[in-house]
Amino acid sequence: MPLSKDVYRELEDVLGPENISEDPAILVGYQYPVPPVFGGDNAWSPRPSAVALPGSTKEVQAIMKLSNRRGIKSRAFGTGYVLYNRVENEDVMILDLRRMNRILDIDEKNMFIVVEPYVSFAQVQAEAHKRGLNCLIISAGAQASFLASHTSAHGHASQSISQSYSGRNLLAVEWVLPTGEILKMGSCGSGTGWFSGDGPGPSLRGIMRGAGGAYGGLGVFTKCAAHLHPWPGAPEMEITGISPEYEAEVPPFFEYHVLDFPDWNKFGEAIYKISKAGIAYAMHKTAGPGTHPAYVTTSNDEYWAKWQKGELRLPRISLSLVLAAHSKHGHEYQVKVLNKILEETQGRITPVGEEPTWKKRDYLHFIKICHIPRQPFRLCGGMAETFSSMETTDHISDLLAADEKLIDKYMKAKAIMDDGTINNWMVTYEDGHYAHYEGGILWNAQDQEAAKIVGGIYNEGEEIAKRMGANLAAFIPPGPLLKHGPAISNYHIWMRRIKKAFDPNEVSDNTYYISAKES
Amino acid sequence: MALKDFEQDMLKCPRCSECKWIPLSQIRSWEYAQVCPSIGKYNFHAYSCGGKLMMGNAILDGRIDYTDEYLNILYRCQMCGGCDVSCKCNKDMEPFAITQELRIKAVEDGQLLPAHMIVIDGLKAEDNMMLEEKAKRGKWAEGLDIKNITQDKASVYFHAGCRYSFDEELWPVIRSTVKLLQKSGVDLAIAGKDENCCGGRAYELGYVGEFTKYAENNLEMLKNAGIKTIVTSCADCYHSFKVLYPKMLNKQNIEVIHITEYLDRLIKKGKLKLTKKIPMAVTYHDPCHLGRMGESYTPWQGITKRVFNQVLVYDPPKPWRRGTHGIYQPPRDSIQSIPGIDLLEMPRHKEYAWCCGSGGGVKEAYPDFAIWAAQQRLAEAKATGAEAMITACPWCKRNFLDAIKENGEQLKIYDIVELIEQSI
Repeated sequence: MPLSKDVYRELEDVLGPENISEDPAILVGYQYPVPPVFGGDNAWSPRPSAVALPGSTKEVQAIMKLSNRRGIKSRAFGTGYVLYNRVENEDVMILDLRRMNRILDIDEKNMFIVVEPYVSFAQVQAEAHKRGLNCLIISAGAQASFLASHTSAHGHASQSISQSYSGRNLLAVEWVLPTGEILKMGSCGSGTGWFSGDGPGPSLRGIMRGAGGAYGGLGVFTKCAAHLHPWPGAPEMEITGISPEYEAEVPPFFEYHVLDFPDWNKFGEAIYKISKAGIAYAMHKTAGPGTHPAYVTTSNDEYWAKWQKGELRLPRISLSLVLAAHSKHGHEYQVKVLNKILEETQGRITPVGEEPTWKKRDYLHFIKICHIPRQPFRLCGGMAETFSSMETTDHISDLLAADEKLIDKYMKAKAIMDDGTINNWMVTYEDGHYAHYEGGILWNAQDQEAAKIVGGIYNEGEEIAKRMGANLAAFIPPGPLLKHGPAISNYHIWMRRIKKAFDPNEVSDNTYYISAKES
Repeated sequence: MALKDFEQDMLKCPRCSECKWIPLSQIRSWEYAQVCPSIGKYNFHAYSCGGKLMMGNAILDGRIDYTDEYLNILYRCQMCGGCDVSCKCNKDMEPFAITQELRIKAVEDGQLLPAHMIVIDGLKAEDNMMLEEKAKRGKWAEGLDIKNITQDKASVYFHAGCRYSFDEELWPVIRSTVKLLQKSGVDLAIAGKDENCCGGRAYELGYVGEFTKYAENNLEMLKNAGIKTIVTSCADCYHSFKVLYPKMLNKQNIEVIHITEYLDRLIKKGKLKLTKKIPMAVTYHDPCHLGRMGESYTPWQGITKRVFNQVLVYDPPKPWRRGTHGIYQPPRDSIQSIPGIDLLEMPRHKEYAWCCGSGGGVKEAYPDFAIWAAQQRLAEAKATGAEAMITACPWCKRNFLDAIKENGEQLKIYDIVELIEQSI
């Protein structure tokens, strides 16, 4: 249902007529086709009632106040990558935050940055590198919103081993609550700057994002600060080639390798040892979600041609690793430790990662671009997870083995991609005692039969995860997991209390969060 | 291929928004990260290429109908191809081709933009896109001692294009071009008042019929004159001859060379000697239709087949056009051959250059937007420390000059030929 004329006029007064639209041609840009694996039937998600483009906190606040007064539902929207950005409820207005796109401060000495919502990871990293710093680019890719990942979603990445994850890197936040009040969290709440998320000033990170964020279900985050991390590389990475054949040499004091292991236990042992030794700058279990060969080739045709010749074969039980040191001595130390760990775990540096083109392209993706768009979406167009988890590394090694069996079954049914590897993905943080895992599967999104079968793998995956005690709240937004609330510390009860307290009129769309009302 | 043929491609868009940015690995600053003027100015997702794909799906399956805003979204786009390069860094898709097909469908459905109808009517009546009388077409060459292909035999045909033929302020550029080529011993001819529009702009606006008519006429004229090589100073015309003629007509066996390539060859062969110093810091603006859009078209026919259970590949392998082989180096080499000149690169260059703003019918229908895009580029050029921006297309030069008139910018704008002439 469209907004009433007087509400629309009020919004025009707040935003300017060029920054609000209910034209169908504009609105369809915010709809998504929803395949069965995500609970749809390939039909398009509901069309929003309008799209607004606020340009400041003041405008966001005015919209939220109006929403409470006039009973309008809305959802904040960042770069809009994949289905988690859709609305499943009718009559929701999208607040596209694209006009709020400034970097407000980079505090080089204290290693943090303050941004508005539409600053991308790539932009943050480019400015950070100039200052000898780096940011954690999440696996969704460098094009995604830096703020959204930190305030509202999960935020895992290949560099997590040295830089943790977005929720941990978050510092002070400016939050327009669903009621329209502005809450300044952490140190900016006491007027002392943006350096801390937990005070002096109110510390409400747990309420604000829980395990993995409210996905737009709890107001609008208009500014945030986040940690930057040391960058041992050059202020500007030297990249050669013309699109899409970009490459970067692995610089001095850096190493890039693909390591493989005889079994999942040795693999897990190696992860612990590498993490504990603190030598890795970036590391992940290879092949996911998607495959490394997709990074190092420029088209599916090229991948297929090379694969047929026996090239680009990636071992299933393998890690990709980047070491990065500030000095020759530091580099020598890291290499020595790595070699010792490989000896102890029967691991080895695989030839595939030493091939020059592979090395230069994969290294570039590892550090600067980060993953997903090239992998699943070029290869197949469809991507989902069997299950995902966030917990001890050891447990995740067991889950990987279970997931391998599940994925093999569906590969045999020809419903998901099978290039000889498995596309599950894993990263660790915090000295390796803690890790994140996603059982990535790829399929042709236009293949209706495959889509139906893939719906089955998702259900089986959830069952395995529950049976093995996986922490399901690791990647999936809270909303779709409500049915598992009792198995996950009854978190849904707490979420509903938060929603009631912070959004009494339920103006923030709850597609991926929770309704204040008992269903 | 019609829009319907791209239905699967449109559904494949994961809405990653990479089409809004320059290729991610090339982002070196906050300021110069965007590639698309359209989304850069209008902000709603529909204005990005990804948004247009969604609009395409919606119009195909009848979820929406044409509105004024639909046409705005479609035509507030320079057809610069920046989105295509960025998307295809990572995907096997044809986003630019889909945008083109959306325009063709709109015209087929009778959804015409009034500003473009005026231009197309002018084209039909006077064979040019400039709303000028055909009789004035050859005036730019008055006083030059040059052959005409309608009467004389020559080995090289110089095509001036509509903008150069009727934009008097730009005439010195092509007059110098002709003189430089003749001085280098090139056996050159023009068509003078008998020259016709290449048809490329009509194609970009969605008027396929008009394009085909002009393309066939031009090829016929060149065939009758026995021409083996076309040289042009216009990036848009270059793109038409080099890419659209073989793509749409599946015939075109004439060598097509942009003036920057030709001058580069002459300089490298020693036929043009650049000796006079020009002590100036300059930057080079890659015209979209010469750079990322200017790579050759290779015909392909084949089928898709499924491998790895679920991955589609093309059989035979498809030759993707991703901007990899555009004309980037010849103009740069020519500029650097000029003694004393200091070439400074803008952050967005080559395959991910920011568009001048004038293309795709924007200058004609949305002149303010064209100027806005040019002003973004002028600011980027100035930030390099350059005193002048060099380009190699009359549409770019015209739009930059217009933008400078509006904002009083001090930056000088040259065509590459002007500096080469000064250096001889």
